[in-house]
Amino acid sequence: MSIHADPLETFREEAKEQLVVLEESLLALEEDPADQEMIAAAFRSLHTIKGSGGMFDLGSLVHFAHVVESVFDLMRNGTLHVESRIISLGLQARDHLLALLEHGDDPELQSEGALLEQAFLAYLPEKGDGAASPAAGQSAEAQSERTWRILFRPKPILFRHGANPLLLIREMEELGTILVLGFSDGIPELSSIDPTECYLAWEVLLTTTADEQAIRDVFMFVEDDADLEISLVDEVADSDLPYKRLGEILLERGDITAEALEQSVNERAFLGQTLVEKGFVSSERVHAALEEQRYVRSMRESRQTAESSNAIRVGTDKLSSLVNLVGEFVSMHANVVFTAQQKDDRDFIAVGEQMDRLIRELRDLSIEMHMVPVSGLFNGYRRLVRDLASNLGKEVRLITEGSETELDKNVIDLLKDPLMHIVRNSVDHGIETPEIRTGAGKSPTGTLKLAASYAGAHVVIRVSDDGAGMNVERIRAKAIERGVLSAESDRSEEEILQYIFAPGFSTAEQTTAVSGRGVGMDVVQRNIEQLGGSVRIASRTGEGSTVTIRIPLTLAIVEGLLARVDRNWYLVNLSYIEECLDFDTMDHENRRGYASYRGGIVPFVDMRRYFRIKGTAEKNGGQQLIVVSVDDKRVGLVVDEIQDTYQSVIKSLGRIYEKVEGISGAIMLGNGTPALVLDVDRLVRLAAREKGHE
Amino acid sequence: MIDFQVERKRDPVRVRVSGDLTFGTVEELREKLLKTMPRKGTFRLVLTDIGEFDLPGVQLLYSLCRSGESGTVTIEIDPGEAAPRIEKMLRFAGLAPISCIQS
Repeated sequence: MSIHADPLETFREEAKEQLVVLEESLLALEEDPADQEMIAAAFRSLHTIKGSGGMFDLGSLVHFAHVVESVFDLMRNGTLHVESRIISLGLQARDHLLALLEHGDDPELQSEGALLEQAFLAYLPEKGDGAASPAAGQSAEAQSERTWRILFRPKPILFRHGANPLLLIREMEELGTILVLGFSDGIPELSSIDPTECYLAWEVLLTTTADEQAIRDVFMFVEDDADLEISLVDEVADSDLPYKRLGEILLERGDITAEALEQSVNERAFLGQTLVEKGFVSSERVHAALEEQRYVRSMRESRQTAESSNAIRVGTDKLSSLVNLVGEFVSMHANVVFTAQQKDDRDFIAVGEQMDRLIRELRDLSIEMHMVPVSGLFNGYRRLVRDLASNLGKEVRLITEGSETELDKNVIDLLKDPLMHIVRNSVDHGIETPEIRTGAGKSPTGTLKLAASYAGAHVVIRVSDDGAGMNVERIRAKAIERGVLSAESDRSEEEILQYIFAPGFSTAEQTTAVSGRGVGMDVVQRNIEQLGGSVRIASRTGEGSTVTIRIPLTLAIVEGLLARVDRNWYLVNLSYIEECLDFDTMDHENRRGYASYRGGIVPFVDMRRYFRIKGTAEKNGGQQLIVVSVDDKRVGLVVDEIQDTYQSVIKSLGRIYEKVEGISGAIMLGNGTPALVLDVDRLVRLAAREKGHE
Repeated sequence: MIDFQVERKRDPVRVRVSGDLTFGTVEELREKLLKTMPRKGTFRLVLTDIGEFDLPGVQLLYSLCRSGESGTVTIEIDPGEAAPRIEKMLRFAGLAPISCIQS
């Protein structure tokens, strides 16, 4: 192809090539109607012809290609099955498109096209009933509105191939709300320019319900003539967060390097101005980044306004009361079912089972209303980190992950202080000063990361830093000095690290106004355990530390398996349970506490022995093994009997039970008997520790 | 084809173009501009009579202005009656105003 060919002629040639592909795809589909690749190839050909045709104002061709493409989109999404009639129609459509390309829009072709169009339209749902729009189709799975950053950097050849970026912008406009930021800073002066080459580039911020594929489809026919990067920059869950800073945006877009940012941040002047003055970036790029900030903020404001008009404000105290009442109701229902089962009252059992579904829905809905994203919690530490770092002469960058993860508001409130303590420790004792970090070959700026993720009925929060890490030997020495560890102990490094949660334990050489007096980590652990959670630390000298907190999604209601040992009842949280097995039929070694399990062995805890319950296992056996796991550790719990699942509100235990390891609360059964809620996390760790040191 | 008229040869040099400022004409226009542009002084381009224009055309205007930024010649573009159309396209394409276009 000649570089200076007429763009319309170039389009015709390329469209004919696409029609060849379309024909081949249709014929292949006739052989194998389930071939998804061929359906996608046919769709792509039609979409390319439609998109390119739009640049040359070929209205009839574009319209016809769009109708046919819409039918193939339905097949691509699995809404419509490939059948021989569609393939026949597809081949006729291919011929019609070729005729339109060669002869233009003559009256004879128009009537032929209208008939074919009707045949295709019969496959499409009525308008307003999900019919594809002339723009690239949105995903059938409607999503909430999100904002995407689309970096479109045409290659020099783009204009010569007849592509017109303005039409791409128009097509994106049809997908949602857009902010277009064009970049002209790559255009050379007159003596150096080849004016047929493209030197322009664009960033488009698009707020849409369409998915990434729908956005990519807009660029399908210029994909070889441009570099395209599409990234999600904002979604509903981020609404309460401040948007990225100027430096972050420029860095993400590749406008500046990390080194340039670091050099400029230290100037303490306006960052954008400094970057431009130092020649790191053009003022146009800084302006665009500021526009992006302004755009995302304004979209969030609009979203919040729209959301608030669809919502009513209810005090959290009322919500908490509702959740508590639902919890009590769930307990009451469980009591009714339990009592009915004990009395073998079949009528009551049947009514209870009917109520079960409704009560579960009520429970889930009330809990959901009380859940809030951890973003607010994480966000609260930004200022703390900034101020602490500044006071300590350190440079710390706080990054967050999984901010959209939701937790019971009460859990979040109770988590604030323990988490703050961990964050303070990381900044104070973990992350080093810039001088020390540079000397150690690290970036002068330390990173503190707060990450949240779901793990079954729990949420895991990790606070990690890339600081100096902990000195295991110093902790070991301190533990021996305080008499909590014998000098002969061969505990693993991981176990020794956990001594920092012991009361009054600190290895900090200097106490500071911030932390290091040994008051705190024990309180942190106690507070988290009171939430039914656990906390662990991992660390590597010179590389950093990670504190992992595991907490239940909600405090309101627990669902567990009711197990009996002698006359005592225990509740094992369902989220930990892997399976239940008949213990008596398994090979097991009581003295060492191991049982054969799935071709290997599993350590087990005999609950009768653990809780020092007198007597021996019941005659005629019937002992059960409940296999539970936490992270990668698995342990079996031996009980006399397993009953049904049971939902209830957990009641806290009095001081008498405070020091009993392995119990996190209690529930009241229907007949007034209490059942202890097992602290599975703790039991697994205790068992793993014991077995590891035999 | 683009009609290129040198209205004044001495400082300030004044050129008026008419016809389309598009992919098909930008090479020709560039050649003519380079030949006409003085080494120093002021160079004024009048666009009031231009017909269609597209992104390659707009790109050439940016390039012309850039030449003025680094050299000894002052470039001025008088958009005339084409001003609203040029402005509309720049706004649609999200491009910054062309610095040497006179308002």
